[in-house]
Amino acid sequence: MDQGLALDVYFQTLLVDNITTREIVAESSAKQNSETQAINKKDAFDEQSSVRVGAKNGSDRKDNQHSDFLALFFKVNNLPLATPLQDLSRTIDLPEEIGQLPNQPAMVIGYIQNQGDQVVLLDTPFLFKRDVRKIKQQHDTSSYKKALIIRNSHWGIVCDEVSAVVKLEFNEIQWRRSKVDKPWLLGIATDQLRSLIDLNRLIAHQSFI
Amino acid sequence: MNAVKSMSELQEKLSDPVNQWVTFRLGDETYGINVMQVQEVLRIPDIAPVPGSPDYVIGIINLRGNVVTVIDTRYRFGLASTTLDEASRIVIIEAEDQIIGILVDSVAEVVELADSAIEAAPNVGNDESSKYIQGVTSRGSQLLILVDLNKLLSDEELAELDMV
Repeated sequence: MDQGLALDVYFQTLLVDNITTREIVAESSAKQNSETQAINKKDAFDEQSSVRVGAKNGSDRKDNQHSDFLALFFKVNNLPLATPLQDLSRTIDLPEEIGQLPNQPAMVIGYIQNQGDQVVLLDTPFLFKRDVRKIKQQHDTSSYKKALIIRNSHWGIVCDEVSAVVKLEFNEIQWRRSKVDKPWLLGIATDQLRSLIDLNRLIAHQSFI
Repeated sequence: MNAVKSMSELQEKLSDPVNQWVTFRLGDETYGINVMQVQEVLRIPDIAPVPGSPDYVIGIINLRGNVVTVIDTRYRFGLASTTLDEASRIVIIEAEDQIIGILVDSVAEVVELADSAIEAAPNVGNDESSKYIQGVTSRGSQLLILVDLNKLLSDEELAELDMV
């Protein structure tokens, strides 16, 4: 099946969910007539063509809202993570050429041009702010293949893979009560044992921003 | 006569209580923890790392729908790390009203110890470990090191582990 068409069908299935308004821009290179196929939510999230998705009222999302939401599952250096899909603009393949900024902090990988935007790519493990020295020693950037572009911002974070978009129920998350430390860690998706990350807070938590 | 003997035995027990300790191995040493603090012992399930967690935290497990943080006890005791094997276990404990898991090389047995058999741990100038070592006792040729789980992690560290 043409991958662009598969992506179209996938996003058509999203439209029937309880998410109010979506702006879908699919950049498929070719469209063919083919039979419709339901996309299993556990299938790999294939974004060979980049897709822009935006939610109308997503910026007003409150923590711990008692409703289902879609989450993007991704992995960084074997760390399984999830983030609310509505906080993302798009996911892209990492280009071969990444521009370097003079005196850029260790957590900045570089900048790219994507769909008319200048995006600064951040090295995700550095954002979690533990022992930066140890991160530098153990760091392996060769596994990075994808970038997640944060909605309404010029920031992106890198990751090894994007694996799925999953609908999570409120009760499936073990929400953190206290967010004094690590305000970007919302909780844990219990069944999948994935840390649920608020990317906007993760970026805002960085001292250089 | 029998009643007198029973009474004196009872008095002896009351003045020298006996507690049960779950023993586990880390490297060449055997440690004991009070059985009242042990909830269960698990074979190693999937352990997922958590971003930004301290070095002594290996990750989290799903224990019947609840997320439990697992501590690297070797790291905590200043021992080199080792690979997990069939004998490795996670001991689920309750420390200061918090449920956590501690990763150990193996779980040995449950032993009974009278308070009188427990001696203070020798002072080797290590303030860090002396905080949570409750005492030591000899079991044949082997030394058993008794750990106070309530002091294994500080209040700040326990608060940091609170995922919910």
